[in-house]
Amino acid sequence: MRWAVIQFPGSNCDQDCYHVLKHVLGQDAYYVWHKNDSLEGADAVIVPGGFSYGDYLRCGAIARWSPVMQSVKAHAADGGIVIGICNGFQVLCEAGLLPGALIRNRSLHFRCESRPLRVEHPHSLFTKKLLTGQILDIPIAHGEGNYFADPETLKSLQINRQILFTYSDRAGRATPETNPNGSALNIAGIMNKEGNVLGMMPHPERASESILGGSDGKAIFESVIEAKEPKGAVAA
Amino acid sequence: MKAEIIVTPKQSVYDPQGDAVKRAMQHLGMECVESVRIGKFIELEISGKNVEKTRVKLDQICKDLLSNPVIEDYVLKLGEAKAPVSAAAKLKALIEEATDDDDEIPLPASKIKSKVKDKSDKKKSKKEKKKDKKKKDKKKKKH
Repeated sequence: MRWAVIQFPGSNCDQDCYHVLKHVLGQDAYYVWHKNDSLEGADAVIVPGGFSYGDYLRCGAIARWSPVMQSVKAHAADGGIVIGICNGFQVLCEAGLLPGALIRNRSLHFRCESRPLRVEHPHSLFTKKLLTGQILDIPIAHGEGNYFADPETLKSLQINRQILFTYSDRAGRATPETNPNGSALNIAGIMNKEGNVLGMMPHPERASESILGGSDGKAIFESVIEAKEPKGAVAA
Repeated sequence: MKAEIIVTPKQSVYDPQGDAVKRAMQHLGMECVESVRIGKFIELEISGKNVEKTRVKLDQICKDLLSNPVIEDYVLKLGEAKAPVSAAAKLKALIEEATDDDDEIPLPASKIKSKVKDKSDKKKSKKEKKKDKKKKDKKKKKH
């Protein structure tokens, strides 16, 4: 699979994503600079974490208007896969590819820690290899990860099963105590209605090698790879 | 032309920064502060003279870039460049305009100040009245 990793001025998780895709998962990964308006035939796009354009104005507000994001929007509209991680999630919300917005953490603190995440269901491109209620240990690192949407939007997220990951405890209970940032419904990650765009605040690329403390995040990338390249199809 | 834009979090959006500042203000003795909402003040200088055309464009860019309609509201003010006024004075005027006829909203600092001013004005006028009375009395005595 061809994976485009977008680089904005201020991106700082681009190399982690590239490393995991290329060296851990053996994928055809490459960088695409924000001024480039071609995705060079990508099957999937990663909008990585960081502080695109210094997070000026609002997180992701300026990045969404960059030339490369117009191509990412077209790619998503064509059914192409897009994964926004942390700042990438903020960019996708600003771009209107995902509903809602990410605002300042309720605690006002930048939270940098590993959190148990509950998988809501496996019926998506991104959770295919996971189980309902499975707990993943994936680190978060953000100051603005408080997911906000109006009540109707939250309802439609639930009805359409767009919520994929929630902040929970080890037993899978999502409570205010297990919510690190004040997110509505303890939301850590959602997909669009069509199911081809994922946004999540936790960093799966930082949890993809056991030598770095855990590999729970790898299953998210592997789910996409398996969906796009079924084992039989690769042999054929 | 000059444009001024105030962006504030929507009423339905919790503003943790405003809440922290409110608590700090209460801690500093201003228990009367019931709510603080923190937003942004954006000041633009624009070339050209077609105010209406610029207003339409600016209004769109307020929705697209300068604010996020999911979480924020904005007030746009556009006009001819006038004699330079301090930013604080402009902000005060804008806030007063935005909160006009809305007494339920807790008073912004500018209004609190103006109230204090009113009181001092009244005091002055009382003093002046006293002076006037004294003058009158003196006049009476002279007569």
